[in-house]
Amino acid sequence: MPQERLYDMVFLVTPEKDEPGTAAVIDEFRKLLLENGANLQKDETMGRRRLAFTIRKKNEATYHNFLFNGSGACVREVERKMGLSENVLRYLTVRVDEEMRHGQKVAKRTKPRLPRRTEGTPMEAAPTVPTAPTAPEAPAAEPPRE
Amino acid sequence: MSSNPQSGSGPGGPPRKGGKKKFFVRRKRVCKFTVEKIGYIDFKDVKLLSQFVPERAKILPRRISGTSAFYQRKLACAIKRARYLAMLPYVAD
Repeated sequence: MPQERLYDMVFLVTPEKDEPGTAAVIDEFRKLLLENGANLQKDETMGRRRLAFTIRKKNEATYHNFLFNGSGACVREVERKMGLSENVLRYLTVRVDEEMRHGQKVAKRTKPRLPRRTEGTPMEAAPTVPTAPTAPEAPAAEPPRE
Repeated sequence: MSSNPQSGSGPGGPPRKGGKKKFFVRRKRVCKFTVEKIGYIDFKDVKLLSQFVPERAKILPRRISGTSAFYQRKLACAIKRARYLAMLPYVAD
């Protein structure tokens, strides 16, 4: 069985399509994902937005986001179809499981990590931690200049 | 790096008596992501990312923003992804 990963997929639907047309395009890819065994976790239209630069002579597009569990083969197939489709201006799929796991770990961390000694902060200001027995003298408190 | 040991004041310290040089209190830079516990930098979060992309559309260096090295790498990656999707500009207009 292929390994399931969490993927974050965003794609831009051409502004030439009206609302039902855009919905149809999105629906097509949703179906394709489900056919390929993806398990949708988030399915959200981010709305029609202005593009930061023109893509294929278009200045705006409808953004849509899928967050799903699926295999690499599933992603490959959907991306192949998006590449062929004239209605999709751009698409991006990112594997996010590992980074999201790290994010959850950080959010759970209640005790803040001890700040590193920075310029101008004497050692005694920081909470005392039994680390190195003798701390070297603090260097001159001047940041490096260019 | 202080060359004059008699000055007795570092950056942000009290002004020298009678000296012409003016000092200002240097605000301590902190890593936004560490402080606010933003573990995952989402490339779709334009509002967050645009704080680190000034008018010139370049990625703000961490020597100015104070972002930690770990999160600066993640941030740069997220900004580049957002650029690809035309959420952020590559160059200023």
